[in-house]
Amino acid sequence: MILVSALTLLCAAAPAAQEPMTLAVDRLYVGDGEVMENAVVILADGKIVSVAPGIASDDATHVAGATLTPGLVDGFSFMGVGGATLEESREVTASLQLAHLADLDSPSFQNALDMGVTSAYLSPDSLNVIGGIGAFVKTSGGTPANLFADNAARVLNPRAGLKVTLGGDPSRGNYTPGGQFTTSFNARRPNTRMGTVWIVRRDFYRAHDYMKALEQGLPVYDADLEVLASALRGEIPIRVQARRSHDVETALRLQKELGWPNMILEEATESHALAKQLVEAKVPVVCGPAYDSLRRSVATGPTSAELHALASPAQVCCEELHDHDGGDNHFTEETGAFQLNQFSLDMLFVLAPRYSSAYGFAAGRRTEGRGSTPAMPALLQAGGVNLSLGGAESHDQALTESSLIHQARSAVRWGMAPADAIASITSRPAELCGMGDQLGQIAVGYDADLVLWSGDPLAADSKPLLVILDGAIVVDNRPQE
Amino acid sequence: MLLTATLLLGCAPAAMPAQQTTILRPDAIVAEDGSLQEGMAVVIKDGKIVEVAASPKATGTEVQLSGVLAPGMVDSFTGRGADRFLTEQSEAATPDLLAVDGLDLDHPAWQAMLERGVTTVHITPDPTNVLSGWGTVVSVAGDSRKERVLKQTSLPIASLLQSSVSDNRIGPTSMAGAIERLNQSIAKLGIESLDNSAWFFVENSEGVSAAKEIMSTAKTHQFRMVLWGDVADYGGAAAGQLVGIPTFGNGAVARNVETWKRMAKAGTSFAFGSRGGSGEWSSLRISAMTLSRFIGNPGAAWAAVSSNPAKMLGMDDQIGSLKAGQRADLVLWSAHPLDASAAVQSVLIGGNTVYRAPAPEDKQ
Amino acid sequence: MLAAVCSLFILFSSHVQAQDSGYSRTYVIQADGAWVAPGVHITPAFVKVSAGEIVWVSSTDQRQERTSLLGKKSKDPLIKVKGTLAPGLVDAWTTMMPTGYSGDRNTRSTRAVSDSLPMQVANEDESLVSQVLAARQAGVAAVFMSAGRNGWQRGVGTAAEFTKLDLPQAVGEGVLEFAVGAQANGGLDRTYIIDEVEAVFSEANGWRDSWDDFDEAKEKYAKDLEKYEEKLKEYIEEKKKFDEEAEKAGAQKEGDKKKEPKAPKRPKVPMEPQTSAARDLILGAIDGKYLVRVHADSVGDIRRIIALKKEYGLDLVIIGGGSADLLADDLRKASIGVVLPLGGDLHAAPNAERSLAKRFSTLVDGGVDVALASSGAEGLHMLMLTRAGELVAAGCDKNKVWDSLTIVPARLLGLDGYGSLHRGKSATMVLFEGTSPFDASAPMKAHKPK
Repeated sequence: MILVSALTLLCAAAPAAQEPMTLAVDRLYVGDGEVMENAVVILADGKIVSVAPGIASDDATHVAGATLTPGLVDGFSFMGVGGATLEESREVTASLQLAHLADLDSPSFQNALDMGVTSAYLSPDSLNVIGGIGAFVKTSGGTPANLFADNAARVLNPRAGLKVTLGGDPSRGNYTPGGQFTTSFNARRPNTRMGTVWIVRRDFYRAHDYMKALEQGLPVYDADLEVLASALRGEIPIRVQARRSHDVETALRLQKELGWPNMILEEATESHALAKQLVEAKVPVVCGPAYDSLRRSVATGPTSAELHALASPAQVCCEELHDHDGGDNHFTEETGAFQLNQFSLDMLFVLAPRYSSAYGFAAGRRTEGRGSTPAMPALLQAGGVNLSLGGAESHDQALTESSLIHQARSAVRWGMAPADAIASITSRPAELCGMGDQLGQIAVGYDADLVLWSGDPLAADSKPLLVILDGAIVVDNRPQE
Repeated sequence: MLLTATLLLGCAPAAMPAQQTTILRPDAIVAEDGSLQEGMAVVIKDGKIVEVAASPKATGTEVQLSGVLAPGMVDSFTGRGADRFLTEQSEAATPDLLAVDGLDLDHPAWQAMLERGVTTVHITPDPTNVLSGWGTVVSVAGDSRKERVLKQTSLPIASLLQSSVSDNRIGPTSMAGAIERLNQSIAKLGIESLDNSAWFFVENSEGVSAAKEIMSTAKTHQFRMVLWGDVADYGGAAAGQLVGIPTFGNGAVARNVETWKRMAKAGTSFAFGSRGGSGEWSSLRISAMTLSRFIGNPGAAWAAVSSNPAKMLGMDDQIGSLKAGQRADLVLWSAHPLDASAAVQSVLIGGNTVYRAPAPEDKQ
Repeated sequence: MLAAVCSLFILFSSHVQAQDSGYSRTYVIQADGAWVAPGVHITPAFVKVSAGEIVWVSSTDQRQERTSLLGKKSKDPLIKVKGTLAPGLVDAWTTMMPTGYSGDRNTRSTRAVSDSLPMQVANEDESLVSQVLAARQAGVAAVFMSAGRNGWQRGVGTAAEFTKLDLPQAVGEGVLEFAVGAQANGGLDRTYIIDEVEAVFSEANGWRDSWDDFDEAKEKYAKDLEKYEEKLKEYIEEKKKFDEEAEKAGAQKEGDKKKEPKAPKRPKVPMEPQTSAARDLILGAIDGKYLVRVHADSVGDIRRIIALKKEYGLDLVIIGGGSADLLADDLRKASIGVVLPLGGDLHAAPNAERSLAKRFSTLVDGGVDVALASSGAEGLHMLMLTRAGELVAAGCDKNKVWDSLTIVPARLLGLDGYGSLHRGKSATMVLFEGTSPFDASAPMKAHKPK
């Protein structure tokens, strides 16, 4: 299957004027919260040229029962981030620009594409207090990347957000010298939450001074402060990663104090109690995966289809899981969820380490999500917060069970309206990345990034049949005639 | 009888809207001098004490309480209730560090404080840098952050604790160096921004005179000392002053009984902070009891955990005693709070019942 | 429970202090009241003190007029004080030690702390004096001083009272100290230390049996010696004969020689069983010369200590006793007392599931003698009353908590002169003004006899 899609990808990758394509679908999520029944969508030159009610004609591509959505937009991911982008010697690396450094050949992008993600915000890592500038990219397309490739075609917005990290991540591993002589840089950087905030404040105050100096025509230049200044002028949104509730409160306080014109919260794992303040401050939130204890999320999480998918790459299959001691995995019709016994849970973790990570099993995540609940997206949505969902590291493994669409499904399972869930993985994150008028919706003039799902995209057993990016089919899983 | 009384206090104020006037009639109240006064009524309205009198003028719902009503205790300086540590040693001076940024309002420690009759705490960055940053004053319970954080930034914390601020890598390495750095960073901070007071953590008479010297250049500004370590070292520096002291740990506190007595005689008054003590929440109260035994003055000992910390924080108009205009942060004890056999029955913060002791059979 | 007015003289067995504590004056204290003994409270109170001891306690003034030789009439001086008198506390577990004394590094120590106590001379040990002053300030009248903190047989500790010079003076019997389980530190795997303790007791008993064998052997040796001497005489004669004959037959052939007589063997002197100082202490404990005190926490260890007590008929106390409450019944049957420490973190008791209050109540309700001790020195005495008060706040019976600080530890340490206000008891008392000695909202003073 993967081979097939890889081949199709190669064919489709050639940039050429494409034949117009007509898709006739039974159901269509526009992406802005609207749903249409029986629609015909016409694509030409990588754009959507027509969206109208209608039924299938002979030349139209049609799969019975399938649903069309805009290509999914991952509002917060770490695809292609690692190695070359992890600069740890300083706590502030504001001028680090991910667009120049991210590995666009990373297999993560193919994983994402396979699960319907056609564009994504790439976030700098959370190791530094001010990590750098994130980029908004398409997950495929442009020229095939090689040593001399120009990535420009895939990078839609090279300055889509400035990463500021609050909480435990930037101080993790740092320690106080305690009077000992040491040359380790880890003995210098912040080692408390408080110190992290102090560094944020310090550098933004410097940036304010820097801006004053610039106004006075003083000959100053500082690459990092340039970036902060441009964020203060509102040219780059400031994306603050804050998980614990008090980190979220700190972010709101800093916004006011430092005059951040455009702040977006990332992860916000414990923010549901603060919906009111977030709405008042007009702060959008991009949630990471629901970080929860093993039993509450994983145990009730994976559905039969997911479990099959999870088991299929390895030699163990679900039937076999039943055969082992304590084989009490049982399927609940009502919730569509499997209740797993301990052995199966252990198997899950052997099979899918990333799965566990997405569910908060990495130590850092767990300690920063004391009050977390998988219902958080639904609660924020209900509180009126501009909510998007992000896959975080979920696409960085070949296993796709925690992918972006899974976050949306989980949000729906915990109470979010389906149309909102789709909006939170399409039009809303596109808007946050400054691309709201170009992608994230099925509307005339928008990029022809589309996903045709075998059923309702939010149903646990549906999968992408077609993934179309810039008008070209990049993933084709249609049943063979 | 005890049980019904607990229920009364437990249910009555909670069931009533906070705006209504409630007249609390306990067996006795703890007056500011630490003595018990019987037959007094405490009138609360809108989360504040509006009147304390034997026969109050106000009318409202009367609630009979069996026990002793005292103001909630105030912890002068602590690190509990914040996320992990408040020790940021990346630089010798960290004047912009705000304890409020490390504040964790969901921390389990808050409940522990409540159960021990503490209603307000001052959280400070650790005094490990010459200028460690700013403290924050927090109410132990409340509905929102806005209600809880009484003072976002209280005052700057300076430290001349030689052993703590010394650092072979970034300096200073001596008291002289510490004083120099402190001078520099205070100059940078701008003395005007010091509001009207700063706290100096000092551990010997050198520290005291250095602190006095530094603050004398600021002329109009006051400063408060927190006496760390062996009190015997301070000489007469603390005479007639209000000073912060860490709660007594299990260590050698009694060795200095005579020093404590001398200091009390010289007019020094004390305010306890639980940082540097044994870390146990009850240590605030235990320390007050111990001080009472040391100096033979229960009133001064009670003040060290109630009105004095409030004075140290410049908030004695809001917290620390039973006076009209103060926040209705009240604790009902089964006897005088300095009686070790007294237990917390219930706690009101801002006029709302936020804690009720479990029924006697659930105890132990 | 409340002040039962008691106008009778309270006269009990008189305990004569073995050593002179330096107190000499005679006077009568008049106080608002007195906690005389468990459940016996009187108001007001008159206490006559002479040479550091109580002569009488009464709710009326029992002073008698004396006429001097010159015809002058006089009475004992009366000192009026505010507050209630109560017996001084007995701290059954402290780390109070003479300066420079650090116990023994060996796993089996034979040291006795009483040998290292300073002479009763002013300024002899300033540091120790400050510790005593701190204890006095906290209302403590007598303490237990441990022999050391090393090894598992820790030597001989002693109860001590405070003299006029504020120095401790040994009183009562010596106490042989052991520590088992996690409390011991002596190179061995700690779980086996209780085996070691059992072994030294059984070895000591065995050693005693070996004296009987020695006596038998000695008797046998005496008989053998007699026999030997006879045989020797015979031999000498035979040898003489033989030599003579040999001389005569000198020229004769070698083969005709008679056999030479053999000398008899001298019987071996039986060996005396070897003595050892460490074993002597164990034997002393078995003979009732020493009390035994074992620092133990686990159920397994405590069970085996109960068995040890029964087997050798020891006078035994358990200190620490983290899990003693689980064996309350067994401890009561074996009449073993328990000393619980008040030091450390009250709320995080060694076994967090059962708070100190819970463990205390279980033991006391189970009929076990429980003493509450500071388990430390200096400041910890000061915390004793407040920490014990917290137990009352947590629901323990106030009178029982008070007893655990006074009469029970006195009993466990074999201190007849402490724990209540009776004739012959120590006049080192507590004077408190509040509702109880636990109440720090009112002044409390320690009364040091004059």
